[in-house]
Amino acid sequence: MIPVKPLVLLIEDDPQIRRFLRTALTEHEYRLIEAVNGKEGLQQVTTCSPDIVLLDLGLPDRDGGELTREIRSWSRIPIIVISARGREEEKIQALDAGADDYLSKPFGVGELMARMRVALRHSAQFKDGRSEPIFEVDALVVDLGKRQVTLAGQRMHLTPIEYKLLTILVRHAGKVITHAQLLREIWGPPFMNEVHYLRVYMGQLRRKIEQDPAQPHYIFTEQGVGYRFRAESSVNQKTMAAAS
Amino acid sequence: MVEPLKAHNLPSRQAKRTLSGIAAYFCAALLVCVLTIAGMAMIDVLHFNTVSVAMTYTLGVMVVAIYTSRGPAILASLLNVAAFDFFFVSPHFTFAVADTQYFVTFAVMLTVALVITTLTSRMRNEAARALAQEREAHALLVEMEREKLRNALLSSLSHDLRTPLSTIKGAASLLAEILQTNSSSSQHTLAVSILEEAERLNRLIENLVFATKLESGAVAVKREWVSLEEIIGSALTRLRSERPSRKVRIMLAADFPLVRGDGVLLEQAILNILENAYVHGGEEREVEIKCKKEGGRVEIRISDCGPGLEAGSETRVFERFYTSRRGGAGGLGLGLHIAKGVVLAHGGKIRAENRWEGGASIFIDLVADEAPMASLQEVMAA
Repeated sequence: MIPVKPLVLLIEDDPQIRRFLRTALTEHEYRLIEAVNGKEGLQQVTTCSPDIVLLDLGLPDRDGGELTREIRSWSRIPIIVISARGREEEKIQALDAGADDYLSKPFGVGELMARMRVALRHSAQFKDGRSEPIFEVDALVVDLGKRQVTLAGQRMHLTPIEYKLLTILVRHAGKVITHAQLLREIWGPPFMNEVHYLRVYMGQLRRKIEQDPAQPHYIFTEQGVGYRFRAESSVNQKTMAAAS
Repeated sequence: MVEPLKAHNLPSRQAKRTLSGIAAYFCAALLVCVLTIAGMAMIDVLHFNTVSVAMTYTLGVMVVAIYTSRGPAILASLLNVAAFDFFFVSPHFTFAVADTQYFVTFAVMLTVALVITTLTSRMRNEAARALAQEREAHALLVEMEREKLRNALLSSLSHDLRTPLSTIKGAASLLAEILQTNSSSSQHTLAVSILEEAERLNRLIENLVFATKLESGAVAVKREWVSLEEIIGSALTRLRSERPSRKVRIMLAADFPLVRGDGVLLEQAILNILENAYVHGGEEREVEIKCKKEGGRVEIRISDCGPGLEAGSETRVFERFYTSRRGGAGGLGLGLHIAKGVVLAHGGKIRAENRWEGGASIFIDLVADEAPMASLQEVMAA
């Protein structure tokens, strides 16, 4: 069976960026529909039911966060938001409104494709209702069924909070998770602003699984936004980087 | 840029019109002397009566009131009455008064003089206030104009320049990808050149915008608990995409405390210092990051093994647009300037030094607050 090419909805007002993305996405076997503003974009989400949305946050007519929330109120479609570096507040707003991931402008094609691949994979897993019981990346194996973590064959002893932190990150591997999302899932809504708890536990967890916690291999810090777990084993990563 | 000069001209115009201080009092007294001599001439030569002299004195007070301030005018009023009494009211050359009706003259002279003084000074104050208001409004307008210009420049820099750069970088990355799979090596090299230069241009613009924002005070500094380990880590991750092979040694204690600050800004500061160390530290040489806590302060030291700082440039490296004469980076000389701006905005200090074993070190000194460990214990227990 030939897999159907995924349909991408691109909501972007700049014609030059649209043109480049059109070429890039076609080159990578995606089908594409385009919208130049939020209103048109929203319409196409309903009428064309795309597989993934690329949403520029600097649209002339609509606030990106608001648009994300509106789409999210009735659809689980993966949304990747695009905005300039230094606009971390804007990204957090969109992510907390339900966007799956973000890209900072300017970005390379390799980066975009990696983000889209992760978002589509998570979306497919969500649709199937199945999630991998065993997660493996490089030397780290997390067995969600047995609640067991091994690093290079060695059984790791994690505290309940460290384990919970790791499993949330692993379940969303490759996607950014905001501080607020982690705090809400681990400690509950009253602790949404207590980012320092997270930093302390993240430090502890990294000391257990990372060789050098200040040069992490598994858990990356997205400064001012949240954390991102390594999407794929480093061998894959290298061949990907070489290809991009 | 002509506007602010105009604003500065306003006060000097007013200063020319009014005298102030001791000079004013001296002039007031001098005028009374002149009027007294004129009065004597009026009586002795022109044979006027004393009423004319009294009137002339009153006129003098008005002149003093207009051209100086309230104090000299009051002094002139009192001296007038005294001089009039002494020189023109019989018996002459004493303060004694033979004709009691002169007391009425004195009272009227003094009252009129004081009323003139008060009214004039009130008028002048009003005028001065109006002038000050006008000047303030003018200065505000000038500042607003300047702010508008700066914001327009900032937004055009950050948006209008970055949007085409996004396309250039994206298209170049796609081209490099396509050409590599077709393995036509010189074309691929050219595509990679476009890509790398677009990235460099983007960094230059980012630095320019960031430096301008920092200088105009348009950067809000968050005060959150941040981890230096994470900040160093994310700065290194960002650099690693460009210089994957660089060796960095980090010395940071496992129980290193959290620091209060803005993670995004501190990451940028550390990234700029690291970038500098990469460029000037020599290829394939190790860069070292050492963090230590001493009392109420946290110190981050970033050292390279390069040729070190040029003699006497220890403070100048933080200046805006300072670039080493040795060259190499081809940057705008804003990286360390931004780092300094960020550190100062955190109430910290930054300095550069040569190491005795060779190479340069940049020291960042930050205030360490006590981390809220007590509340953390509560959460752990819960």
